[in-house]
Amino acid sequence: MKLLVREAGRLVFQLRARDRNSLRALLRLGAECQLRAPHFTRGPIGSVPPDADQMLKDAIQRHRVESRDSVLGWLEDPMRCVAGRGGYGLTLSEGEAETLLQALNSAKLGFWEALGRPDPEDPPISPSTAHSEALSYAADLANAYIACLVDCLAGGETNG
Amino acid sequence: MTVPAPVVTPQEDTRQLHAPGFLVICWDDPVNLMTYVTHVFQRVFGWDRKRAEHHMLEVHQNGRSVLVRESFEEAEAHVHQLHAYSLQATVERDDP
Repeated sequence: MKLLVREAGRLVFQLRARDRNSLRALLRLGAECQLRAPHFTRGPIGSVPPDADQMLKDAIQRHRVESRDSVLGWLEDPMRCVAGRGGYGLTLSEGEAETLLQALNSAKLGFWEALGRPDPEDPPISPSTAHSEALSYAADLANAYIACLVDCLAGGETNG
Repeated sequence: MTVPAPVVTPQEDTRQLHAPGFLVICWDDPVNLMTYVTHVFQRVFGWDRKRAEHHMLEVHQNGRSVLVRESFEEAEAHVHQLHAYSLQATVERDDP
């Protein structure tokens, strides 16, 4: 994955065929992993209506689904993800690139939660299985794309 | 989206909800990349890289960082944005 063009709020990424396949696979696999909803507060902030926290949780869950579906749609759209020599050219606005980043990070956190929220610094506690190794690989791959994308959005160019 | 603001008690005044008495706090987690967190702070708050990195390191080293102090509505909006990026952020009342 490489940033080819950045002008007037428009970004064009070069994706190899395997990048496009990997991104689609990561997002689809991420959809199968339940990601815990965040809390709005950890302490008393006044008499917040009891459903306020749930409303925010519902909103963020909807946002995650919509972001993932949007990115999958862009990757399937031949007008936006244009096939060419050596892969594809994916055109996104800056806001859409942020949506891609959010969707990838949500997928990565879903893999992490499915693995039991391990601390990456600690050795694995339970014996690995084919499923847990697949999740670990997916999390690492998502991490690589996230790092690449953050670098691209910061103004650099990188290969991932 | 907007959630209902906290219900004020008789001792409180609705002006308090609009006063900058709420903190947006980001909490540490072992999984988000440091460069990612820095990017999100820059994007959500419009900070330069130096300021964003300062808060990212505070989260990493101290377990949390107070990002901004603002009204309930502003804090709610910022926490929602941080949640969209899957960061662990909360609103807390800034009790003296």
